[in-house]
Amino acid sequence: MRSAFHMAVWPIVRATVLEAARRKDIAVLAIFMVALLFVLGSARVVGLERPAAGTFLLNLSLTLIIGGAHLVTLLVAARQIPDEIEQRTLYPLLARPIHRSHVLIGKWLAACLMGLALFFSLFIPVWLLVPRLEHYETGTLIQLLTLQPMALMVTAAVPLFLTLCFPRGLAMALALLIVLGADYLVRFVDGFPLIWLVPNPSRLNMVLRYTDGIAPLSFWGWSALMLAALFWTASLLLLSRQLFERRAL
Amino acid sequence: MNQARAIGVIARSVLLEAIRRKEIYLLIAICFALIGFVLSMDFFGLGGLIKFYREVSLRLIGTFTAVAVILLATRQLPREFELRTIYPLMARPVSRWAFIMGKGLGVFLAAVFCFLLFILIYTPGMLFLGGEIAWGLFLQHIYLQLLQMFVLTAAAFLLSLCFSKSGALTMVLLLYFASTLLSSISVSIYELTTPLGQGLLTILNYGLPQVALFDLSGKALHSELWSPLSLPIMAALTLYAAFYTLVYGTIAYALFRRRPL
Amino acid sequence: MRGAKQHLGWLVALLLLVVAGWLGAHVDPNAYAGGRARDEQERLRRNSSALAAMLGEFRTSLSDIMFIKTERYLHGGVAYLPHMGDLAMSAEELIDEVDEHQSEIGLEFLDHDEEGDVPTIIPTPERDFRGWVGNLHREVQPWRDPTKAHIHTDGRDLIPWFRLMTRADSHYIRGYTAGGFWLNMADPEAALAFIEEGIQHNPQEFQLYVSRGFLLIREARRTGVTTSDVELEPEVAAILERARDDFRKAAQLALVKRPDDVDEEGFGSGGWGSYHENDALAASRMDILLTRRLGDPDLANQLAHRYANTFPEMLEMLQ
Repeated sequence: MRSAFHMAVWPIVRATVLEAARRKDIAVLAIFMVALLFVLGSARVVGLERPAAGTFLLNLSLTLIIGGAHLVTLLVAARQIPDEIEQRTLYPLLARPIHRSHVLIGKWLAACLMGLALFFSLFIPVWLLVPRLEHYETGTLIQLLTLQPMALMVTAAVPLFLTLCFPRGLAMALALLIVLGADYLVRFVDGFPLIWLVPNPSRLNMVLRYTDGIAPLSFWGWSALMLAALFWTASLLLLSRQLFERRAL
Repeated sequence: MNQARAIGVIARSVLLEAIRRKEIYLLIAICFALIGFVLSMDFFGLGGLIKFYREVSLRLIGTFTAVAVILLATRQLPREFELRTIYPLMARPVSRWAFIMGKGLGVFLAAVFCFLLFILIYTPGMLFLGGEIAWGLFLQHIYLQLLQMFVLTAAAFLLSLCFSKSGALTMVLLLYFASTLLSSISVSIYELTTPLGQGLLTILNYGLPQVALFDLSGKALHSELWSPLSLPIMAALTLYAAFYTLVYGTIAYALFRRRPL
Repeated sequence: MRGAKQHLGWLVALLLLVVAGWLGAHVDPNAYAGGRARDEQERLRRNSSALAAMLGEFRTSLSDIMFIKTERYLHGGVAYLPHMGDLAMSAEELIDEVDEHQSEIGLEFLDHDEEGDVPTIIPTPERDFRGWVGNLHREVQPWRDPTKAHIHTDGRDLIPWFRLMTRADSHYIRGYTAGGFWLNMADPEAALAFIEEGIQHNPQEFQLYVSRGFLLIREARRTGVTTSDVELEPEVAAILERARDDFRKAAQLALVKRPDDVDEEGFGSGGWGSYHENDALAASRMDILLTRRLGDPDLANQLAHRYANTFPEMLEMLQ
């Protein structure tokens, strides 16, 4: 017997990715790639005469591709439910033997996969084109590469949940604030009660630690961040499910 | 229908839609909240630290209005096709250029609306902090920002007819946020590249508008040192914006005209 | 039954959120002292590269952003290529630099005459291929012919930025030290409290103690006479004692942190730079001087011997 994943979730993932391709969303990836290659190529032209300049470029490039991947994940996830409701395409979907939670998981997974595809397809040119002229810790890089997919999982879940609570515009603005600014928010409004409950995917960003040449986090530190991401995602998806189940269509 | 009247009706509908959709309010509300947050910040009980407030507010106002305009402009044309609302409209005696002009004017009016609201909060904030507003530079800055909105709107229309909504959105956002960087990069690498590279950079220099030319906030921030721009410079900047608006708008119109309904 | 399941769903979701929040709040990958991004010497190296000039204001490091803000604010918004060199590196030199700058407000100066003209980020018409677009750029943005004198403006307006930067990164030591000196111009007590906040977040960073020591010496000078030919008033002595304690603590921490392989220019392994060396020297010297000034010459000599193990020049301070 085929699992629910193959029967229900995967077709939704596939349909969402195909829809993105049909809408020429792939152009976004190409735009990011061209912009990044232009910056990296220009840097090679002016020359990286100092190792510090190489580190600077590495930090900047990694920060940009992570920011771009999160932005794309967020934008893709934020339009899923509102678009389906607005264009009334959700009704025929739910007329099939598909549970609402399968729809949610499928949409979330598709957004994650697109973010991941963008991240890794931009990471490769950065890795090939930016010279690494100072000492960097491989362990920290491995942690960076394992934590980023987890961070993208959180990022995909945030707008999915928020679009079920608020109108699309407000949801998107709040999602942007959380995904890109939660870490600053937590620091600036330190005394605000329960501010630490805000999901914080930026906490999993290891770029600075890597380009600073700092040793990796302890196994427990890394595990704690992996778990935090997992729990943030699970919690947001569960909350989304609760809201989606109760929603009259 | 008289074409001028049609432009007015379409512009009005875009403005009303912008106001009704609450997105614009939302952006304004977030911007207000951030400006309010800045205003409420206590820096060791010291008064008169107005440059910080001035810089953050001007940057927020510029960025939020640009984002609002880009969001609004990139969805105008694709939505008409998606929701099929263009068909009843085209059935009326409204020419396609009047349609595009109306849409553009509506987006611009939404930008004016945003700026008016922002000025309403920025000015009391400055007065509250005991700072002076250098009106000459400030109003010139707002004027240049409005010129920039024309250019961004035309670019958004053009790109939304070439790419998907999200593709166009990304490209216009990139143009807005990375234009200064692009200009800085081209100046740095010009002498180091081959003649072919130099040719490409020259095309880039004249083919893409440089948004830094519409940003007078640097001078407005240190207004005690800088005077308002002279009239010929303002006229040159107006022509600069008009040129790009016209070129992008015309190409957008040509694409729109060829598009089958 | 369905209602109970619903409630359980909410409960589990909230529980997961709480656990995740707790875990996230307790592990911060960027909570480490030092690092290239925060290191002043590294900042100088990367900002004097052609790449940094090419990227203009485009930066991710707080240290760089603050550095660019400082240069722009102090020069009336004109964007020069980074040029504030080693002079403003150690705490001791930085406080003098701040004083000097504030005394020059509104005046025009040819900065760093020995370096010649400092180029602007927006190039001169001769170096700009953009023609009239470049001309408009120079009109709209704050720009000054690099051969002309720089204008110096009040650095007081930088204080909010230092406050924000240290909030965003409480391990950004330079934010506390430089911010403390600028703040000292406006409110000396607030400046001391600001450095104290930095010490609470970074108790092992000796430069913070050096900074506070220098601020306390300024306070002592404001309170009364500190010159060696007069007896110290009790209030002045109390302030100088606090300064001495800070310098001593700084010297102790610095000697522990200082690597063995420091070269003649003050550079060593583990990110030890000339400004660390200068501050370590300043802390040792000030500890000896203040101990003597506060009436304990024997202990001052003992300290000179002790510090001379690391800094032989301290033997010159024996009396």
